[in-house]
Amino acid sequence: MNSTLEQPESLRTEELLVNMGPQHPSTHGVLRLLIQTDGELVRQAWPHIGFLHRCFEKIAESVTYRQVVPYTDRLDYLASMNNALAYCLAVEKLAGFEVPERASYLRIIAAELNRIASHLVFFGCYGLDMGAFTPFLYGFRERELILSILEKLSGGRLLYHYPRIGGVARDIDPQIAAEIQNFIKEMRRVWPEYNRLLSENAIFIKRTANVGVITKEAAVAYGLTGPCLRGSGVAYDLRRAHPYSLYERFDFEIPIGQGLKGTLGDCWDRYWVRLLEMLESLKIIEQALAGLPEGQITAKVPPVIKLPEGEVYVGCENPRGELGFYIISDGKPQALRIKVRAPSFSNLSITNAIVRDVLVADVVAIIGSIDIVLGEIDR
Amino acid sequence: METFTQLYNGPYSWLLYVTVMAVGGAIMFVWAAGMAVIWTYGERRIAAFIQSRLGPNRVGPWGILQPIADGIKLLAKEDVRTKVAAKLLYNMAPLLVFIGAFMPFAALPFSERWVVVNMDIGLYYILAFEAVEVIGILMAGFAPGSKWSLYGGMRLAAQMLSYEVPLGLCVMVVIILAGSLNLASIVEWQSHNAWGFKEPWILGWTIFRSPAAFLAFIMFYIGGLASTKRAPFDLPEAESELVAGYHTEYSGMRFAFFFMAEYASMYLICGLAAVIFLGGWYGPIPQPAVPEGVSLVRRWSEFVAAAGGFGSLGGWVWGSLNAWADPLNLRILAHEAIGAFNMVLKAFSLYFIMIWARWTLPRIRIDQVMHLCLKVLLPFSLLCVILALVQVAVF
Amino acid sequence: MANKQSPLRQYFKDLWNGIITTWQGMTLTGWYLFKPKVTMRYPEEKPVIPPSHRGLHIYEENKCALCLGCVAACPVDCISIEALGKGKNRLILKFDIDYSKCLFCNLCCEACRPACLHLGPDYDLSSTTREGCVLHLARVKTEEEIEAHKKMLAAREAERKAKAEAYQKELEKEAEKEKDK
Repeated sequence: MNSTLEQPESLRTEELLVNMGPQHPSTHGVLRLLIQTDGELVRQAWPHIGFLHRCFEKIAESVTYRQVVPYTDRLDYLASMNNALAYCLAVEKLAGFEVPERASYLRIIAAELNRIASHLVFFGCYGLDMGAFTPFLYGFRERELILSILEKLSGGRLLYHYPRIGGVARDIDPQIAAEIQNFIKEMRRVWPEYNRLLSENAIFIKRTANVGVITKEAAVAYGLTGPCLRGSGVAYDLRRAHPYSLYERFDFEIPIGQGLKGTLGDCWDRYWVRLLEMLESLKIIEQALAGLPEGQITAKVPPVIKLPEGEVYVGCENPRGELGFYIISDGKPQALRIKVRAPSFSNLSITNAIVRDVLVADVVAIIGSIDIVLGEIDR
Repeated sequence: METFTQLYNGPYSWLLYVTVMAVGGAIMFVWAAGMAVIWTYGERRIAAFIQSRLGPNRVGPWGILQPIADGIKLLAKEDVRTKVAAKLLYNMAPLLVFIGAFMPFAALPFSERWVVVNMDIGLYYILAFEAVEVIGILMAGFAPGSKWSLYGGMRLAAQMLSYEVPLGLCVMVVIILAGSLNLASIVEWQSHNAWGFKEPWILGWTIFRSPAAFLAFIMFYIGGLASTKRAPFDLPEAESELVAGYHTEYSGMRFAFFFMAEYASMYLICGLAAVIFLGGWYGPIPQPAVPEGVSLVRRWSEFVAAAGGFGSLGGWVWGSLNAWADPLNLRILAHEAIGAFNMVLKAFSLYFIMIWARWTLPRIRIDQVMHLCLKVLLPFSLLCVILALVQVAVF
Repeated sequence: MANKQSPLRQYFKDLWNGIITTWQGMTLTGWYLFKPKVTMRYPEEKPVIPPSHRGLHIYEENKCALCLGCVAACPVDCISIEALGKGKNRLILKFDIDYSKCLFCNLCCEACRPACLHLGPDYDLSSTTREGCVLHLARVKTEEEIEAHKKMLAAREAERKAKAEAYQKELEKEAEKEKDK
């Protein structure tokens, strides 16, 4: 350090470029956020992705359609059932397979259970980001119930490989159904406790209300889907707008943000939409179990699946938004091209626009409320 | 401890003084370190129980040897050092934090006579060392040259500025009501003449003597949470945002210094709150009455002198045995021990509440911390001070 | 929905809200201090593994028909098979599954015609080397067995050749007889 006897003209200040690097306790995966800060104030943030790229789309060009299904599990690994469901629906639509009703109902039960599990992970991790360590453990305690149900149903605890082309892999038995009923009771009992611990907590509300406000217009312009879109007040849910897999038979609400604690479209709204969605999923599961029809669990699918030439796009409502599979086929047993429309990819794109002149603590709140999973961003 | 040194006034009394002080200091150091050790286990257990799980339960029966395992791990860890910006600051920071946390234990009493040094400015001494701790952490934030540590350090500077004033004002309330900075006389003031009773028992505690004191206790506790950087004020070391804040770049024993300093200063705040607000050793469990002015040491030395003086071995042995069996001595011992038990009970209860709060509440953002301390705690603590002044002037 | 209230009123409302919600949260966690804990004390208490659990493979060698359906079905090509002969005279030399690649997706078991491959309940896998991740599920055959089997195959081949030549000679003799007639 030079010794300065003369006083500097003015204090030279710089804006720091800080790397919330790929290894960070709160970026929900290997996301690199480059933030330009002026003290504690963040001027801008640039997300850098690609650390989890595993060449899913390229691999899908060289394996058969049936062999792609386990790979789809690993896109958004927290909502594995929903990923495989979207892919199977796309293949079935192009090939013209008729999925039996029982299989559709089982797919819905599995998908909604997985939605609750994914939202519980969000609940826990968002609490963790805010510094409340206990909601994480409470959320995972209930998630354990779901995982053991899904283990009995499909054989896996995180990556299920349960929805198959033409139907589902295994049938449900009365023991699993009873366990699901128990879980629904338990979840309804602890849901108010989550609110008491985190949602209504004044400190949590102060951290998340009026932070990271996404207006309706911005949400639609950036292509947000899922709870990020609904948190800004846009009532668009693919299960209602373009129903798939017999969702039109079920009666459930679409929760949207209403700016209850602050501005419409702030972090608290997105968080609250996800909590309410958990309750709606419970309703759907109850109805599906009650009305489960008899029948086959899978359609007659040829041993080697060849799709006719053409292309198809099917989008499904994942816990994070619209997951879409765009498949181009040229008649061979392998696809010509599969493109995945990942919800977290589009949701993350709004980061640069929203993270302007907020504190570092708010960056964590905003990224947490968008609820990204790097598996599907990077594929 | 001081009474010990008043006995012997020969040419080497300075040596006796130094030895006695060193022994006392060592005892309090062990106690402070022991607080750090047992409360790492206690915190993990309580946290786990709140979270519907068991805590450490494998190492030793019910996991009570877990802190020893943690200590061995920290000692054996590699000392990872960055190409630090300022080597001297990097090395000094843990030491300063350690000093700031452990030195005040010299003035913190267990009981009326069980204290290392009963300073007349004991209260002020304890509060002053908080500042030393803050300097240490600021150095720790700047020294490693890592941006994340810098964030932690800067947040700590903001937090410290915010909480110091309300904390001091709340302590001022007690000083106004009690009329002294000496911890022993504050407790003595709490032990009689309240609400019309000669021996008021619990009603004599500061918090029941004035509504201002009750409010001041709550605000002191919140300020104490901010001072020890415990949740909900644990921004400087916010795990999920800043990796580990100001102690990101420290590992192994250096980290252990910060760690132990935090737990020891938590006990300090709780112990101080127990002394000045909750009656210290004048606690729920009544103490047997002892006459004024006697102390164990004086009585023991009388017995030894009677049995042959300090010069003879027989005097030491016989006198000590007699002193042990004397009922008044036992009474004094019980008085002190029960006092210490009361004190530790209260401090531990407050400690438990600190841990309970950490695992329930989310973290407050730094600007909200400043809002809380400067716009909420500060006006209310000023109000408490004014109320206390009015109370003392009028009643 | 944030109504514009006077700042002073908002201030006290926030203060009261803070106190109340803190008390609510703390009482909830306080109650949980005394409720039963959900930890499973592994390894003394082990989880109940349902029959559908997809763990390590169970391979019944005597049923295996060497159809190689599992090899074709595997998305990551982690199964490798080597055998001598086919049909009734088969001897399976190698049936390896590379668990550093295996997805535990169950496609191999679904493609297995004689149902000799299953994913079992064993989940405790660990190894310190890459080679240790490859499990050899076929029984290791001794050198004598392999040699004996090769000899048996060669003998059968010779027998088959001899029979074929004899049959050929028969046919030629018949043709000759036909020509003679």
